[in-house]
Amino acid sequence: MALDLFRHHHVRHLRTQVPANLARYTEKRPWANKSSGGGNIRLFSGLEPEVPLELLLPDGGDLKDLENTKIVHRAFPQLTPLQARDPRLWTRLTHIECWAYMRKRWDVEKKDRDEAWKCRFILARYFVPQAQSRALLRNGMARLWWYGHLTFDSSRSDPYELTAVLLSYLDIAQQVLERNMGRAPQVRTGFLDFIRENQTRLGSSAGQRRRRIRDLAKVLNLRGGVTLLDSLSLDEIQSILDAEV
Amino acid sequence: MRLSSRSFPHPVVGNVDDVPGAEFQATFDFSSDKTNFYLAATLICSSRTLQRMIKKKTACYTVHIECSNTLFRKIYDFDTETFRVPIPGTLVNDALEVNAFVRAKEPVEAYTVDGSHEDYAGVAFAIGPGDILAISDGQIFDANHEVDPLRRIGALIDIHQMENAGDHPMEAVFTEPDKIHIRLCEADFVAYREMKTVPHLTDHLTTTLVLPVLVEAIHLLGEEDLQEFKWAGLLQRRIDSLNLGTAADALRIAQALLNLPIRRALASAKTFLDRSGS
Repeated sequence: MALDLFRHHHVRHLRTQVPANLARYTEKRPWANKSSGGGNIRLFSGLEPEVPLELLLPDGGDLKDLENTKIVHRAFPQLTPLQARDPRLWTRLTHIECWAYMRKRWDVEKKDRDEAWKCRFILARYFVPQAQSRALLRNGMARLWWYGHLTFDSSRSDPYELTAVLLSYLDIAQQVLERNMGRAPQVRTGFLDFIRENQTRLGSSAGQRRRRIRDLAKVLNLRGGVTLLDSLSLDEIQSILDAEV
Repeated sequence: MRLSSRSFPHPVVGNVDDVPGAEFQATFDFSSDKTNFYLAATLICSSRTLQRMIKKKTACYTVHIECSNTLFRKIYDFDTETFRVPIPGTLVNDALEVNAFVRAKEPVEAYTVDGSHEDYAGVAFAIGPGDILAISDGQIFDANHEVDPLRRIGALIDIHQMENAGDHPMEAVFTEPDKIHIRLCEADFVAYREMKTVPHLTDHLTTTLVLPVLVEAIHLLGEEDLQEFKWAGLLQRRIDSLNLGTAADALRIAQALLNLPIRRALASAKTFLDRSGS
């Protein structure tokens, strides 16, 4: 069945009403599908998920990010980047279709913080508050599609091989995708492949590996000040990283 | 790609005074049709060293295009001074950052460039593939999916009804991320909706509703850091494209952006009166 989107005015309304609706973000059932003024809030999109959007709920420390990335990416394989930056789609999914997942994965009650923090948290995870890509990578649903989109490689025996590397530590996604260089396909692929092939060289503890990965991202970023990283081959990217480990 | 004056380890044509004896200039033309945007570029590099390298295919011209809104990033390599590339409309939106370079394609063990600053005299540098050899000023274009020039201000401003009932004066909201919002009370909004369908009245709506808000927005651009707001970036770039100079005040700029709305409103009123009279 084709998805309905929220109309712009409803997205705007929900966003401005976050402080007033704060308690509703702890409710079990979705509540945002009612118009405040009686107007039409639904916009027919023609977008039909190719697999059911039945996301796995996080289970303790297992966040199920990889599994859910695959589900969301497989559900919308034909989505264009232009469509995939649209707040109307992601706001609808976070508030309606994937509400149960969002409540569990991005639970505002989980942290004992003040209301202002909670409002910022909801804006970042349930909405796409800014035009910049960083906002897409923080929205609870958009991030899953974009992780899949940016790392899917149909030429591999497991097309989500690099997605698994990206999500092996949350820090990697931040180090790679939230830096400008991570938008360059060769850089992204080279970096993730290098981590995949050199797990043992990066250290024996999670802390060591995290530090090494951060250092590698910094090295590549610095090199990008002198060299057009986009023009380098995968081998050349990996040679730069190899020299640092 | 954010570029500012950098200290490269080797002399780079176009970077501050690294190579006073040579220049690298890029001019771009941005256009679109229903499916694609097109970037046409003319790159002129006066450095003989780099011209020779491009001819020998050990260096090339490179245009780097990046759209932070859709995470699009791509380079295009050329060995000709002029070229045009299509960019599918489905891949980009909003600000498109374009930079031009000459870059190395092959390693050079002892790189020197004619006309470099005297500080570099007698020194040769090891250059690797991808290293930047010349750099020009970047430009930002609007990959705007609205093609009607009159609707382009519509891409910045949204007019809608207030949520609270009652009789209230018009409000302008500049704190929304994508657009400036003009909010009208219910009675005004109903009147606005009726009037905007009447051709003779649309120019009056522009002067009544849009012009004062645009003037206010232009004032805000000068006073506040509004980087996180998409409308502010779009508005600033449109103002820059008008080339009105620094002396132009907000009212003049707003009128230029709206294509002389007062004159158009008066002209349509006159037409209306003439027709009523006849």
